[in-house]
Amino acid sequence: MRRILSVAHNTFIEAIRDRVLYSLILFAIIMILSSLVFASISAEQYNKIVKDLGLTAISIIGILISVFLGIGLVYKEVERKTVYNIFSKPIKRYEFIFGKYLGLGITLFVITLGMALILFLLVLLIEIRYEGLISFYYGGHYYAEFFNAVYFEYLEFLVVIGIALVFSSFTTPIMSALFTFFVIAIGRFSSDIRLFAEEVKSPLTGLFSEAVYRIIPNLEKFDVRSEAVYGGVVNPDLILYTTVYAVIYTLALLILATIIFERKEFK
Amino acid sequence: MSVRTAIKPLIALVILAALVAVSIPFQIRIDDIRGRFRSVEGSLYISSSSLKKLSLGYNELLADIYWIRALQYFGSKKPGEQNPDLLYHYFDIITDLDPKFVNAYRYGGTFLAEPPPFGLGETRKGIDLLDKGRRNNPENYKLPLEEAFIYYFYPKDYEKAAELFREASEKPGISPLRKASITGMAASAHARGGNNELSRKIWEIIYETSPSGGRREFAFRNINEIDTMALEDKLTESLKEYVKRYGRLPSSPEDLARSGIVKNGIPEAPVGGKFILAPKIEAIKSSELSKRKIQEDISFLNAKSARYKKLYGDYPRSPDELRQFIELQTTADFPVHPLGEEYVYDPVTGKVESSVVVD
Repeated sequence: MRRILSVAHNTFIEAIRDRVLYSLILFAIIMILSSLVFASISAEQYNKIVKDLGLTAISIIGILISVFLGIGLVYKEVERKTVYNIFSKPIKRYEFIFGKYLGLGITLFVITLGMALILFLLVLLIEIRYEGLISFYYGGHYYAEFFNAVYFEYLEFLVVIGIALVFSSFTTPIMSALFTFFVIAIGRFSSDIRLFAEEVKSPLTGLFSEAVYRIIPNLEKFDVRSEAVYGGVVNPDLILYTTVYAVIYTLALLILATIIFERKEFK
Repeated sequence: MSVRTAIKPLIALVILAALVAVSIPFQIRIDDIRGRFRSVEGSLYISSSSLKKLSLGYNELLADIYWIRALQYFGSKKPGEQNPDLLYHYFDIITDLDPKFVNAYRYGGTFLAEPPPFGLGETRKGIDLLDKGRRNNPENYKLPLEEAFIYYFYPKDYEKAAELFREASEKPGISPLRKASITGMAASAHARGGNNELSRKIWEIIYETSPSGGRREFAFRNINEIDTMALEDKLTESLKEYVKRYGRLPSSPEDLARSGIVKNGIPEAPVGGKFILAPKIEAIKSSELSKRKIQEDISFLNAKSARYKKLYGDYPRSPDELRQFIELQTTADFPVHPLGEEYVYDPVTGKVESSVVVD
């Protein structure tokens, strides 16, 4: 465990020194602040526009960071041949993979928290200023739902880092990024696959679609942004089950990445 | 390769499969909690589902973009240049992308349904949009309320309006005062549509259950008005019987009573005042209700005459001009005198008076 934490610590330090990270964070902050401009021309739908745009900005930027930093996690070490140094020490390959993952996971946690706090301050500002209007239109403020939405987005990032890590362990960064985005796109429309499985006449095709639906990452399950605006059911059960689902799925991805990485030979 | 090395990946793969399998009950539980799949209904609409795919799951943001686009488009066009089909399409897409966006149904539905110059006069489309909103947000009271107003003012379908007012009043989470107020609107709509019996029942419920003294008093006044109207109808039936029997109108309600057709004489009017004969429409009317209606009509007509002057610089030149203005610019009809008499209009002062004075 100590070795995993040591790799994680190094990955975290390396990640926060990455220039790409800063430009993405800056872009997120600009997106969040620009929501004020859009809100002003929205016919009094201030909090909806600010929350929608802000939460979307956090999600997009978080996913981009997960993908672009995730795909370099293993590949960079191999490319720079620093991996030889690492494995000359008593570090097992699975510890390396888990440590790398943990390091980026912590980086994402810090970034997501920072972006969420900026957005929350903005939401608070809007909701205090237009208190009466927001209560009338939306029936409440839903601060807990807001943080639930951010938490669910973070769970999605954790899964996405896992996906990027799997691809990064056997292919080039460009191909990894491409594959990861494909999987994200499929995962975002997982319910369409389920719908297809329900609608299709052939039992075999139905079974196959159902299996695909169960195996691909159901990223739709991490979207409760709508509840942050309108309120709604984000009860402890949903939070628990979604967390467990994310953890299990990520664990599966890490094991898969380890299997691939174990078979890799470094010459 | 040793056996141990060969088995290791196999074990890992088994663990992998086991983890995926273990995740399934959690997915099922999540689906149960969240209720079916949120994009299922939307994916049945081709255009919206294509947009959903383009949005990569960020449906709400795309809905916001469409919302702002719709506002920009319709804010920048003159009333005659706006395309109702396009507006409906915009709001249909917005509400497919974000079915909980209640204000999109409200604004879109009202703007479509309201007659020009404030809206596009597409009542059916406005109602369709609000119907969709009610289906997608069954717990929201504002949507049936808004739709009830549309039915009340434009197609003047008072029964449907009353039904929607009642639906709105039964939604969870509304305050007792608002509930009483919306229920009152339902009662008024029933009365306006001629269903006095149902209207009276609703006012009775409000009277018995309302926590507000003012609201109870208002309900009581309405009950009295309905009871007085019922007596008017009953006395008018007797009047018709009198005309059939004697071939002429009685000189007064008392004359009618003396004929013996009305049992137990002329009753007291619950709203006060007395019952009077309206010879031009061959009816018996309550003096108090007629007086109130005449006052209300005169205030309305004077206000419209003043509004005309504000818009065009002078009062309407004739009663016909005033009538045309009212019918084109408002949702109301030109009022009918309750006693079948005339409203006399003076183009010099812009004032309206009743041709008869009721004491």
